[in-house]
Amino acid sequence: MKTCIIIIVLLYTKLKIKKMLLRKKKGQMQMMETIGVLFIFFILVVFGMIFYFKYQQISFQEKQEELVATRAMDSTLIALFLPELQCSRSGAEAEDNCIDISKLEGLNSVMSKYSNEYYFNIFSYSRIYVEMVYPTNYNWVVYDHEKTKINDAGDEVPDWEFKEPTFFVVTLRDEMNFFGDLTGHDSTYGFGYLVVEVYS
Amino acid sequence: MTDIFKNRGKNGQMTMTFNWIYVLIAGGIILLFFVGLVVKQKASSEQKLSYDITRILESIITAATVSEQTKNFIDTSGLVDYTINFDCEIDGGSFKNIFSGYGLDTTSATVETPIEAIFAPKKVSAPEIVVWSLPYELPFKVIDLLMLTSSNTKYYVLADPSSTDSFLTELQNITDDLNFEFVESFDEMEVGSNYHIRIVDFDYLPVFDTITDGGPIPPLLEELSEDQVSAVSFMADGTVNYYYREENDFQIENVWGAIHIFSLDPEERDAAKYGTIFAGGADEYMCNMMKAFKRLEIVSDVYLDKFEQLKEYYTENGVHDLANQDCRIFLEGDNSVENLHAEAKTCVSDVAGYLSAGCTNIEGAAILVKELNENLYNNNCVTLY
Repeated sequence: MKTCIIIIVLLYTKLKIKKMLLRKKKGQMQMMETIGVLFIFFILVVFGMIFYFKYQQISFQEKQEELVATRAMDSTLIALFLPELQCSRSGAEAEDNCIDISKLEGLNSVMSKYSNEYYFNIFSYSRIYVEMVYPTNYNWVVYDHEKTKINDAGDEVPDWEFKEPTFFVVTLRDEMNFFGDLTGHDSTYGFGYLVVEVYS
Repeated sequence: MTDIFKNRGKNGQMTMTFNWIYVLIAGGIILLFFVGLVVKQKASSEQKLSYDITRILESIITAATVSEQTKNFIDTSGLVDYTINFDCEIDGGSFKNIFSGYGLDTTSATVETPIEAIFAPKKVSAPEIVVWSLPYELPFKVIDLLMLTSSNTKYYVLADPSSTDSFLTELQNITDDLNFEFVESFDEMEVGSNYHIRIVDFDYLPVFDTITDGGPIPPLLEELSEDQVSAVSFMADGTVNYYYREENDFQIENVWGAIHIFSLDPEERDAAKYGTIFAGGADEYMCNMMKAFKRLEIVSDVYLDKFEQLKEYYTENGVHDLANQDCRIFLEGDNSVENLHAEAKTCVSDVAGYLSAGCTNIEGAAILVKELNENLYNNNCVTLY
């Protein structure tokens, strides 16, 4: 009888241990499953984030380029109609797309003088120059404000990623024989183009 | 055995309840995350929209400024829910202290305009904006002054219909496509569907109803709020006064004295005079004129350089050529351009200078430059401007 009870107790204990082991295995399996789900979830989140940031980066860059292009257009428009450059004839309306050479000659120094307090508010970081192609090749820098920074070596280096140039054909009016001094023959009108380079 | 089953049942119930709580918390967090994302996205897209609007407005204003004498009607029907604020303040006195810009109300999207002279109402909320650029000449072209108004800003011009004032006649002809109405009395002024009413008083004598400091506002305009009614009154001596509404009376805005209009040719489209009609108030007018004077300082510097070149040119070429000698005589000893440059410099140095008699010398200096140019033109010389 005693032996019988011991056998029954032993069998019951064995069964319990077996069940416990099985339950433990099942728990481990569930744990692995949860870890797996979490792992995939986080991978998806990371993928989503990478995709989102990449998209944001591209759209930001596109927006920046769009803004620079708009700024270049606006700057060109303003530069073309500057009273400081335009050909005028007393009270009459100014000649369209015409630049007065005599004004252009001294404009760079005036623009430099008022660059920080005035013209920077209009043209910001940009370079404006006039290239004459007829009667001879010549150029005048009107405004030059390049975006720069000081590097570790203490040198001033350019600090812009891209440059948006716009070109506009203009006539150049010379009333004081400037062309004659350059080419040897008189001519009241020449032509060339106005270049506005915007830095970003 | 019964105890074991009982415990196991309790355990199962516990697990089930725990699972549901877990699902609820996790679901709630996920829901909150998406709600936050939507709110954030909404705020950011609204901000983006306001920045886009101001950027487009900036391009429109730039293009309108350079298209001289042209009125541009801009459809802003998509913006009727927004109010565009125009501001120009001289905080401290000189050109350097100007704070100027425009932007959408209740958003941070603003465009600074330290250079552009924009004469506009303080607030615009309309389905259509009108921009009109007029060149300011003193005596050469200095800057394009931009008049900006809206389809629902009404201008009541109080004037004697028998007046022979050439500016009034021009105003009547030129504003027929704008929201202008010429009236003789306050009783003719109605609110209608307008957002702002500006009374422009040309009745110098006065023959009819007129705007006075402490005087009543037109009775039919009483239903409007205080910032929706304003007035500008032209004096017989060529100065102007601005008025704002306080309760049911008009109060003078420029308590420091009447504002002088600096212009040379009142017969032709007088940009500075038109500016007084469209400017939001006295401060805004002076602030924008200060920008014009700063530009005058610079442009006169360019002409100063051209003047020296002309002098040099005629000195070199006037030795053998009699015609050139005449041109040289006009230029020699003339310091009108230099004076004009100095006057402009004085005007922008201090707002008090703008108001004082000191700045009014600018007109005299400009007349001398005009005379010099006319002499050069009439003698077939190269002109200054």
